[in-house]
Amino acid sequence: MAFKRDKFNSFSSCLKTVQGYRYPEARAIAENFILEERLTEEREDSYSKYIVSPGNLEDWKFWHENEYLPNKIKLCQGQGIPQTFTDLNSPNLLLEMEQDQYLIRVENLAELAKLSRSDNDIVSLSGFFIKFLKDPTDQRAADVIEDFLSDCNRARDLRPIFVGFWGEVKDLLQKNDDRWANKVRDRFGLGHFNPEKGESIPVLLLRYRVADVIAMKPEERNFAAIPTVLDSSMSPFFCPTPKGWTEGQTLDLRNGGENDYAFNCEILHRFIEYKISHVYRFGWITESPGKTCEEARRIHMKFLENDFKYFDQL
Amino acid sequence: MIEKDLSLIEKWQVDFDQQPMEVLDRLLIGHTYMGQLNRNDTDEILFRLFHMAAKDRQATLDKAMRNWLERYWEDGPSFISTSRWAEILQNAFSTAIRLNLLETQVWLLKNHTRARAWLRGLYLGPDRDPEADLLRTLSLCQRNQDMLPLWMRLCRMEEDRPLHFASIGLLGLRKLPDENGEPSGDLPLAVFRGIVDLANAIDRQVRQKKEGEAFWFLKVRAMMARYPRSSQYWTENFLLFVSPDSPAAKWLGKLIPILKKVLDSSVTIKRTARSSFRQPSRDEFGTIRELIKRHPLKEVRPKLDVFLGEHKYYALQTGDADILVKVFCEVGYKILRQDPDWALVLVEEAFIWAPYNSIVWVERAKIESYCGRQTRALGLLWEAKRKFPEVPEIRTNLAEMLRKYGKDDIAEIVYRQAVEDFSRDEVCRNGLAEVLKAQGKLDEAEAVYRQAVKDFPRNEVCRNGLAEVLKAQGRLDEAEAVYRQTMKDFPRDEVCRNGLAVIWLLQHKWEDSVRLLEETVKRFPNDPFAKDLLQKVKKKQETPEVLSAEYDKFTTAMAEAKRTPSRDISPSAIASKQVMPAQNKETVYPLKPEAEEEERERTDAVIFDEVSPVPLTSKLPADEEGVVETKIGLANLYRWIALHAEGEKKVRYQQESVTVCEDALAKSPNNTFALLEKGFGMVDQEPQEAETFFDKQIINGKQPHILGFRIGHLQAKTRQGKIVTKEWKELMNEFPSRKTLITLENARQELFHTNETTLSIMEAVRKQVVTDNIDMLPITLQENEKWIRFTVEKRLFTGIDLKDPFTEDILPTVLENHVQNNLILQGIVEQSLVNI
Repeated sequence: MAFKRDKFNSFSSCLKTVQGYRYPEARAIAENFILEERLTEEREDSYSKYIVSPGNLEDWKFWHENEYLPNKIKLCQGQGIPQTFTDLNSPNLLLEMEQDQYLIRVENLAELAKLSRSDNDIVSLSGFFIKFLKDPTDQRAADVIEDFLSDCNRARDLRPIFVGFWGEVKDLLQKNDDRWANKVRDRFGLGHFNPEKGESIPVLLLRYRVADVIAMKPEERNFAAIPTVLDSSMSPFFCPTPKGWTEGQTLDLRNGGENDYAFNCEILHRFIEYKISHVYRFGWITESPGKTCEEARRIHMKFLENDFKYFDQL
Repeated sequence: MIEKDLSLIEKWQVDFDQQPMEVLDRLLIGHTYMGQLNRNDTDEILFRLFHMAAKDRQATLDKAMRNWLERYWEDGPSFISTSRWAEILQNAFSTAIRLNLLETQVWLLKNHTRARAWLRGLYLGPDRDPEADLLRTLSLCQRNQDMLPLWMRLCRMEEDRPLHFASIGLLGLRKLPDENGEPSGDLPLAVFRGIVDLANAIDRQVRQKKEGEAFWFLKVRAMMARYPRSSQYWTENFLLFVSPDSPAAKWLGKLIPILKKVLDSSVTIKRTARSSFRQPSRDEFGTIRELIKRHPLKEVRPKLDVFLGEHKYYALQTGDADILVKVFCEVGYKILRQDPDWALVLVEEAFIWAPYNSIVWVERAKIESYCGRQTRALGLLWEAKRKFPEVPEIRTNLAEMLRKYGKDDIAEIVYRQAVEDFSRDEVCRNGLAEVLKAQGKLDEAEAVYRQAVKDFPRNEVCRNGLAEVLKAQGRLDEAEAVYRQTMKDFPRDEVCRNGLAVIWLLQHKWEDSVRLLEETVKRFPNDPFAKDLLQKVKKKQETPEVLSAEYDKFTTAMAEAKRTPSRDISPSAIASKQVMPAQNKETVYPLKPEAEEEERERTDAVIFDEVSPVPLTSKLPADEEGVVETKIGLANLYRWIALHAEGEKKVRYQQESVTVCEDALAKSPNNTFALLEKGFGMVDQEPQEAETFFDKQIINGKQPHILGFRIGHLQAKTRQGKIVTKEWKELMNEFPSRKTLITLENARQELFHTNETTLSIMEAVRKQVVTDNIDMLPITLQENEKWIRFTVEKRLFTGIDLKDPFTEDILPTVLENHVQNNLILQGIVEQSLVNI
């Protein structure tokens, strides 16, 4: 269990409190911290400096979002390295990886438009992406996209980027399947992309090689890591990885039961400037995930229960 | 539904319906866990929850968002870090756009102006820049053309902001509605102007020119892709604004080959009506001026409306407002007595277009003062003094306004500082002498005038002033001698003749006086005073003392007329006026007789006609704003005088400075300029505490981008004997457009602790001073740069040839100059650090 040392008694008691909540998606946050076994003591100490004796999930989230993440993870460009890629996180750093392999990143286009401080005309913007993907020689579309991505890159911070491997979802992308965005979302456990109550979510799928990430800052050795509970905002769709595993595992949100359940890898890598050559697909997430968060977590935990050291404390 | 069956998100919605603002507040500031949506940014969460909601629910959110912004506007919660707060605001602004929250949008449009300074203080980089996020939001919800001037300034990079502000400038222009507030349906003409101006601005940049050029091409290519048009369309629209040899022409030529050919005159194109658009005739202005002078405003108003309307239309169509600014200020001044409210409207319009034009600030202050709004008027001038420390006219206007409100003691300090900062400015010098005289400090006034007579042998005002001081001391023979000499040296000056006539009256030389006045009336038929005095003298109804008192009033008016800056407010005229070299000074303020007459007419209108105050117009900002600026200005002034004073006086002014600075901070705790003033004061007194103070602003306050904090920090460390050589270099790299200022301050600090690096640092300063690159700086910094360079040349390097690299032998002279002028250099540096 993370934060099990005596000095974290107060925080542990908050975890216990949240664990007792009746909302499963709230309990999931406490469970993740209880199960997390990949944090170094130094990282725990660092986190505890920002989390001042929270009595409930709201207070805890407040400190997590407003203190820890801005100071250690979501850093401004030019203002250091996120803790994820420092030696404080050494057990989770992925230092060797075949550089040729492709990574896959799913971005909400509306959120990118916000970052780029450009038009809010998603329909028009998506039109340019569609045109470009259909005909990469379309110079007009390329001009708009290059400008858009350039603005985005300027305004993005250094937060670690969640990615999966193209090799694990290429089957979905090589077919002419207009539901690919829903399927990729489910495979990668991106349950927060949920259009349940309305409009579809425009998503941009970016594909680049590990080498592209390294090339951004070749002098910095630490470029990728296995995600932990401290590396992003709280999410019930995230699940920590047992120590024995060599990469993060996403929740499988596809429709189906235990027999169909599959793990997909996810890792974090450091900041990369998006380029037009990374633009791989544009599509819309139109459906809710194939299974609920609660159900996915139940199955996920069942498969990992023997691997998690502190599973008995749930 | 029973609450216990609700999901977290449904529960949030129920709570929201009960307490919209409080529940929204908790969500925005990260105090609510949103379950399955939690990983999303807040704007995405709100979009998910509300975009399909019923209209009344959206309206509730709109109202709550507006109230939320109002709650934290210009005063964010202290318990949230700057970085996080920037992100929170970005999400709030984005929500207003994504959900089309009209009430919030209108509120933002109405309340953005002052908030920009606050948001700028939160800037941490392009990825945490709430000011840019606000501007982007405003660009997307424009209801009218009011923001055009701002977009143009951003495209011209006048505000010395990063490149992404230019991008927002172009976005604002693209989204500019037509005159009816509707989407324009085509690219507004101003877009073309913006693109041309941006190219020229980027080309002027000291650093990042290549990055800037790449940025420009990206922007223009993307825009041309968004608006599919023929080459003819682009060519004829750009032709309106691009001059053949400009960088814009070169760059546009790469994108639009026909344009290049047309500019090279190898091809002509047929012009459409739109491309034949021309600015209003300048000649008409003379006619309008005469009309206002000769007829009541009521009669000429229809013509004036048309005339001003044409200028405004042109500016709104093209974004080019140089002439509008000049015309609106001029007309505003002319109609001031008849319709002060309208005059203010006109000058405020000019101000919107040209907030970096120092003279527009003065015009605004004068009108506010005329309307009886003393605090506001003084606040404007104090703020102008801070923003434009290099403009002597601001100092004289501030001092004169202080005098008008009976604050001669403060006016005296303003003048003393101005005399030190502008040693070649005779207007400041004469102003100081006059304010001394007005306080009965006649010996000091005499000394100032005598020095002015020596320093400005071609200036008749100081001669006449000296004579009047001598007269006030009862030294009539000496006064007579000065006037006689002035008459000889300045045969076209009637003031000295009238002055001498009065002296003779006091000496009971009636016949001599009458003869001189008759001659004056003959030679200067437009001089009303000579004519009037002659009549009175001939009637012998009044005593010489009464006539002399009337003359005193007249000379005061004349002195004021000379202190009033000429009214040419075109950028080039301002630039030429602010050039410091002494040899050019005489040609800087050409005072032709007819100009003098006009000046006097203006002076009469503003200074001597006491009018009853006009009620406050509702659109004016609260006077509080003026109060804080006044206190910051006073803190600086008292600190400055304390540095020059000794003993008890020094202590008193130090305390005064601290007190007013604390007052300013009590009213506006995060005010950057008040904090800087406080910090600079601490460097003098308690360097160790000052280091901690500046460190806190930079690190905890997360404001490493404020150069003043950074320099204050290094000043404090140097004072303690710490070596900070590397930090100075880093600073120069970080702030390339302020390199002269930083190099000078580095040199100044070095001279406190002379060691073997001094020569190389002095050489670095020399190089900065002689490098011909002022045009490459952002336009808003150019005059300040000239001022700094001129002062360095005249105060630090006096008697040293700057052509060749320095050798060891110059060091003794530099050290001596530094001992003599250190306080002046300190003043220049510190004032230049708060002009943001």
